[in-house]
Amino acid sequence: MPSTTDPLVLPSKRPKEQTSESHEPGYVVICWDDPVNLMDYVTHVFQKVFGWPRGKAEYHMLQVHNTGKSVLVRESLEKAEHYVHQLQRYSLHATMERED
Amino acid sequence: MQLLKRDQTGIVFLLGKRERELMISLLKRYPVMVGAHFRARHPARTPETKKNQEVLEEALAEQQNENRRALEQMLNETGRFSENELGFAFKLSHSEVDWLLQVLNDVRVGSWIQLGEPDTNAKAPPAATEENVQLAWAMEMAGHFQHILLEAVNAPAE
Repeated sequence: MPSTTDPLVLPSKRPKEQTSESHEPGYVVICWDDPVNLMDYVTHVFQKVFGWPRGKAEYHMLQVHNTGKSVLVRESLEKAEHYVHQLQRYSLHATMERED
Repeated sequence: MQLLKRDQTGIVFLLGKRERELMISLLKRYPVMVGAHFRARHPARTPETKKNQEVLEEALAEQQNENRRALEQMLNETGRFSENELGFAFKLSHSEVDWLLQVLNDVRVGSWIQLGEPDTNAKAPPAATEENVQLAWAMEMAGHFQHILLEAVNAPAE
């Protein structure tokens, strides 16, 4: 049991997950080209992960293929982490960066 | 492997006897992908990013363990491959097709990385060692099965 001289530690009113920063768009999710991935596979993954129509998924797939990368979405920290995790589950090379 | 039937419940493929053996031996190689590959390509610039990468690598390893267990279960499941006069009917639900694509891509990309990422301009072709031949075989076979699965996914439903 703590003594009366122990410092009082109050719980944070806003845990890290609840900060406004984590809910505001400010992070970009980038997919990088790995030439081993089949083009149809990358399109399929974008459709599955983001729920995009095939045309939009193909547009980003071609951007990855032709330029080496594509910025897929601008999202909050939490959602950006979620998407990077999802893309890596499919063995796609994805990262997130804070948007300047 | 060829598409036999695609409907709302899932997709059925026809696999020859030898093809089935090839698929099973390919899937037994799973997992091949190492999460640290992504870290090596884009080293963390801040402690926050480094922590995120570590969390992602742990999540990937956990996912691979789960997939490994599910794969073993699938390969041993009665009725998953039902034999007929032409070979084996291989039944998958739509979510299983998506999952199998993930598994196959792990084998494909992981093998490619272990081969030294051939086909990128900066890399020399891999040496013709027995191990590399196995890796090249796994990479090509995984791509072959992925291609057929993706064609089936995009085929019109009956």
